[in-house]
Amino acid sequence: MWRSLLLSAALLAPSVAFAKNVFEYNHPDLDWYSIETEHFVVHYPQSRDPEKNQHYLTAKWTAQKSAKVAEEMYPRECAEFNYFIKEKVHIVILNQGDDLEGFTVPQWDWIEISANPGADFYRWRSRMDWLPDVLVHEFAHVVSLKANGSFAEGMQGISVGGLYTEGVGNTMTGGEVLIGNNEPWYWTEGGAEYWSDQSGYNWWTPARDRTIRMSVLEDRLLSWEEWQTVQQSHGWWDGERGYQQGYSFGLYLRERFGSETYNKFATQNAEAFLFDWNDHLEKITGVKGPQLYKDWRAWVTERYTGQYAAMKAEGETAHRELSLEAYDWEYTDPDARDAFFDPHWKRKGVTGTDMARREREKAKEATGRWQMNPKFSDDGKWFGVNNTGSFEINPMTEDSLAALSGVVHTDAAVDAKLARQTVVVDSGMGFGHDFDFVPGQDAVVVVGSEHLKQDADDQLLHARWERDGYDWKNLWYFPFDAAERKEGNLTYVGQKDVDLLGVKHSRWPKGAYKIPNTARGVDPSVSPDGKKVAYFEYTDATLNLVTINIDGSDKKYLTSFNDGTWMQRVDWSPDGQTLALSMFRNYQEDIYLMNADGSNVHALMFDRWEDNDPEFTKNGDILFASDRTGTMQIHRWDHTTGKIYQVTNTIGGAEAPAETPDGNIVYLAYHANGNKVEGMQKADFLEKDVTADFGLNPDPEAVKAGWDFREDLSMYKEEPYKFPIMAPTGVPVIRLTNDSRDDLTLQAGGQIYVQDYAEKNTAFAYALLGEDWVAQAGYTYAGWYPNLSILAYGGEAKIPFGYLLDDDNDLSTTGDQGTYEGKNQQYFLYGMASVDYPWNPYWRTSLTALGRTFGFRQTGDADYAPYSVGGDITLDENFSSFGTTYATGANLRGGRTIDLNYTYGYTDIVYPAYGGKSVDDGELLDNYGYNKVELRWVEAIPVPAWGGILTEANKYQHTIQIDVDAGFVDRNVDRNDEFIGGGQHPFYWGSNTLRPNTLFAGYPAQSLSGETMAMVNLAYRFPIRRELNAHVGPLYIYNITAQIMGTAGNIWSYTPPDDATKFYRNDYGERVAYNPADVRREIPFVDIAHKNGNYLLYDAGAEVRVTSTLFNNYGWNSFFRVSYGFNQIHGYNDVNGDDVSDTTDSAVGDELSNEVEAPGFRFYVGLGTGW
Amino acid sequence: MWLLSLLAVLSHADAAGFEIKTMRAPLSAVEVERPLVIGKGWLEASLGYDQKMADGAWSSTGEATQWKSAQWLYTTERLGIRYGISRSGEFYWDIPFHYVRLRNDALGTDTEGFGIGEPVFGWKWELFNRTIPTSSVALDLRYKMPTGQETAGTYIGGPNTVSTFPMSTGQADISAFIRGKQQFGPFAVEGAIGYIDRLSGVSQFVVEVDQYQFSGRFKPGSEVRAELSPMLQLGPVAIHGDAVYRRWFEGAVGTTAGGAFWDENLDPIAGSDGWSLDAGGGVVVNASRGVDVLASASVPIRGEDLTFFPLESISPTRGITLSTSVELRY
Repeated sequence: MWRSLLLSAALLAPSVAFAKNVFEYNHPDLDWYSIETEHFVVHYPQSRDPEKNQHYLTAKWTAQKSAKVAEEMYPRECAEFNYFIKEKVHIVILNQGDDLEGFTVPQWDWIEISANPGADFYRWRSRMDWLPDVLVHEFAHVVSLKANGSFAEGMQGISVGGLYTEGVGNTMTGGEVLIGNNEPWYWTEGGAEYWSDQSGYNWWTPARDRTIRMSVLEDRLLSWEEWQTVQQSHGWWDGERGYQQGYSFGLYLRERFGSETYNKFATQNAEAFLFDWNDHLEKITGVKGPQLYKDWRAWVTERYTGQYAAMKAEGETAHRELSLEAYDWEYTDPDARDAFFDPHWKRKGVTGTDMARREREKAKEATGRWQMNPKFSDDGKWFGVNNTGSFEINPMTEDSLAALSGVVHTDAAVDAKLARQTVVVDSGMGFGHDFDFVPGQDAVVVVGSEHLKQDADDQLLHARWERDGYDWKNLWYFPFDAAERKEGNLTYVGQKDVDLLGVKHSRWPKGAYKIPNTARGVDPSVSPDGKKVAYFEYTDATLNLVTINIDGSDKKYLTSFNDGTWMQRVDWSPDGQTLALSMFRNYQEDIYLMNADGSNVHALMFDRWEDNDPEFTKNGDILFASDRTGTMQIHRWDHTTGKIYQVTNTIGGAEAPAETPDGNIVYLAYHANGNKVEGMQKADFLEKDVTADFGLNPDPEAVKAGWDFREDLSMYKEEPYKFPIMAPTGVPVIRLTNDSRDDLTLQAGGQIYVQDYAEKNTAFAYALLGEDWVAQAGYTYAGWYPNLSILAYGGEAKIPFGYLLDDDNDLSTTGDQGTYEGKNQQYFLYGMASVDYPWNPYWRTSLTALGRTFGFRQTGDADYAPYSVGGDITLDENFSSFGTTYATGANLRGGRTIDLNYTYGYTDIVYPAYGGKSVDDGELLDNYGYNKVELRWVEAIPVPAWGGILTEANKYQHTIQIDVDAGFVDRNVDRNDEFIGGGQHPFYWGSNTLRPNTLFAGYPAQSLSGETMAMVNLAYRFPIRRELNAHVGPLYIYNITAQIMGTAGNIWSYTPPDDATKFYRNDYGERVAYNPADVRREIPFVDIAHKNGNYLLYDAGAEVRVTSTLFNNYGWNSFFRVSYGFNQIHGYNDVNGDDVSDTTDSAVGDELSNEVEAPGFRFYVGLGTGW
Repeated sequence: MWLLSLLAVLSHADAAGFEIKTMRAPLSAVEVERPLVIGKGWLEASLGYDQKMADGAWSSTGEATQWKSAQWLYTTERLGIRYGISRSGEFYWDIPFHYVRLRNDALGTDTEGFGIGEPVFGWKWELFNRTIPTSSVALDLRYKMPTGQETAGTYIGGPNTVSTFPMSTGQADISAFIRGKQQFGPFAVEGAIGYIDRLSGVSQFVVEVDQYQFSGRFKPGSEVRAELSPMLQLGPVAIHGDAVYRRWFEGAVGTTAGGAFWDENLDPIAGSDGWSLDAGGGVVVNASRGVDVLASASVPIRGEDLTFFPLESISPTRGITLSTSVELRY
């Protein structure tokens, strides 16, 4: 995977928030080491204290092996482009987590890969050679994207944007475009696959073939437009589909135009940047891109329809999906199914052909997308499946499943009851992993997070309160809570999920426990007597076979590899004496057998096929999956005859077999719309004798030699990590902005970012020069538990203004009036330090200390005069169930974001012209401390499906959003310390950094202020086009969303005394209370907020959001908002936005202006700004 | 403090990321062979110092006038950055700071100031390029920003009482130049012709004389400029001569008009047009491909209508300018 790691524009905000690129946790218990070779430096972590550390880890072997593979691949990959990289490429090995990770940032010469390939990589690629597969792929990115780059590597793009505000017309228009390399996704990822093939490390494996074959046969190929950008993702498997479509396209072009065709696109692009990268296709091949796509599509269609016809002629085995429902299609024949779907959905009249296709795809996906490892309990009472990481256990028999009984249920009540009986074990970590029933008990052993907990209400919690940053997999014993429960008219077994604060929970079963001593254990298999568990334990890219008593005692390692050996699915023989497992070792994946104590290891076969998923049958045969035919099919090894029979013959392939109590089989089947579970009756088994195709009875010496072989990697020596710094990268920034109608100016500058490869130290600097300038620089240390950050931020601004002076203070006499203009120059300077820690993916705490000062220089001033100095300490708690999608989701629903912060602030007014004091609301302020609390709560609620139109609205993802902003300052403060309200302009600090900002968009920016804030915005949001998925020039538009909204509330302040005996007027005409106690706090909802002249303010508006990607790689979300403010408001200085302050009857400072902002519309346009 | 902390951490770091990148374009080690655009992937940072000591100006009739008792020291401390963004394109930033000092022995005044001046952001695009010998033609677009402070301090009492010097005109310039370079063995000729359009802006030093606390809108005269520079390379040393001709038009001043045409109310400043011709020469020492040391001098030859104003960009005084800089490239 390639990451366009553009610097987060959020960095540009005066905030010290920091997000790492890989792990959010810092793991200070790790030391880092580096292995340097001629062209690479490989970095890896190792725990500091192996004896005491419960999460001890190392990735030394992975690092050594990576160093070897990297040097071997270097000349081959570089030769593809005749681009021999001089700079060293740094490979960072991760082993802190248990899941797959692999990406590169070519400009930083940075490859990150996890030592652990996760649960099911072998199912993606039908081969377990993880390290070379991913490493060569990522290095192919490095070479190809460097060779392809039109722009210099040190520059991640050119940011061009700006803001135009117009106070009289009430418009604010902001925009941002990032101009950079724009290669399409199919070439980037498909090319990396293709070049790793060209260099001899990968090939068109059966899994890759299966992905494209089924996408062709089930009409699921990504279109020419869809495969341009990785961010198009709208359906299951589209990521892998895009990779392999691109790879297949490369193979097609190789066949038609020669093997260097894909490479030439890169070298051509490096010569000349084109706004549409695809124009290179025509320059190189003479054929336009869309036509080439059509030609390729015809090529793969011919190939796979021919393959399917041949399979049908051979005898396709009959099978059905394991489902309680009776579908109108059968997966036996994708042609027939697609023929059913097309007219069906078009008849439904969904808006247009494209949308009809999407709806159809979703219907196909609805029956299951990640259903893995189906199996029945030995007693036949329970059926279980791993469904997207949740283990779903149903008390259903084979009779209830049409796939196994041949009888289709039609009794809806029975179906509903069965559906309610599902016991969901939401392990939080078991995605793709195997599980097993405990014989003789209503219980399973599954893979789950180490953080699963039981709360006081018996809920199963997966909420992390993270302290050390680890969330490893463990084995868990879960008995079923089989007691019947009643809910309404239904009696059912088990408990449905409970939704608490957006996190799914299940009932905690009585007697459940984490099996001790099973950290990093996966794929458990329980012995026939229910007492022992065989499983694989992960360490350093390697799995070893372990047995342990189900209570966690008597742990025994049956293997002791430390060389990347990978294992997959272990099973006990019916007599409990033998274990069968699949093992990938020395480039072969075969099935091995051994005694339960680890002795007598021998290979069942030793051949070039990928043989995996062994599962004993009741009579001692072994079912397994093999790609012998070029497609993954289930086979059966007959233990009595030693022969192997092919059992399934399906076009999508069959894996993970399990025998049912009645002798049928259930298995995992791949379809273009999901990994689904299917069943086949034994009468339909193909039973084709294919013994001769397998390398049975291998030479024991050869097997032993392979088993005993240890690759010598000792020449790759490590040394302590020296915090190598990545190549600094920057973004030139060009901004066209106006402070007022007559001040349109250009600013130019840039940002630069640098970090070390293990992300312990990060620094950035940003500066924009122009009539106004800003600069900031920050540093974050991520080597301890929380992130520690410091930041400095400062700048100057020149603010043009106009003043209307009237000698007699009578606007009706114009002869004595004069309008003057001028400039006010300001400076500001902040210094910040913060401590920030994420407790879990949803909740983080930060503590920030800030020092601040700002001041002015007027036309006649020789020097600046500071206005105030002060500082804040803020404790902020932020919860967001939307995680990182919060900023980019156009229609977030079913969750919330809550931000609660407390600030203690201190301000000292020092402005000499005011005698070191200021007046606010009639109170003379000198220096003061204050407490400030603010709560912002945004709740996005799906419209409830309560029938009728509401159900339809729910179906089409309509959302109700409640946005509450409330705050309190415990004393009267200077305006700069008050809460500020009003519409926010659409260009804050870069793309996607805006937050829901519809609160009082009907009023001018910063037009409301005070010490007590209570505002609520209610919005109704609905998609206009959920999946447009269309290119418009360089834009790829995904969806269009609209919302209507309204706000009520106000910001209240303090009211100066009206009684002339209680105040005096200072030199500027401002009222100043003799007694500060006469400055009265306004009571919310009771008093008029004197600063704006209203009890309550109201507005209403509408907004359209467009989610899109620009130049294939850059998120570009835009909006148009119009809002109407119903109230006339007062304020200070230039209230009506004409850039001229009417001072005819008021003072310059704290007294309200004559001007008013009348009720009216305000318009906001953000192009590429987010919303 | 944060900077010290940063340095403390980085001092343990390995500067791996500063390796030479493969994508970097070739660049000659000698000045005479270098094209006008720096080349893809090259980053150049320069530090420079200019010093001009003036004691006179050019009169409206083109005669050199000598101030009786005033001396004007105008220095520029320059930070320059060039980055080759692509094969043919370059962004550059010039960030000047100025130390200035005006002494008038007769009046007994000695006023000085220091601050940021007017940064320039530019984009060069090479329209034509050939090597051995080098031929290079480039379009050079630049934008001058009014960053520096504009006030003259307390103005009441006339210009002799100013307490500080403006470092910016308060308005922006947009310039377009066509530059060309042709190499002939060890010789090369570089020339440029361009137009500087000076936009109008509210300037703090333009003070209305009614309230003495507000400002007016000012538009310095736009300018045509031509440059010619022959060069001879002798080993690692390049010697060059320079000639710069400037011709500017009348400026204008007034108040801001409403609507989209802000200049409508401006009145021309009669006689504010003029011209100048400067000549000079210098030397470039190509210490290595990554380090150049430059020194040059510029002498005013002729001029017209150049009375004193403390902003040399729009009203250069008559004096010799000495310059030196070092360019670091990687």
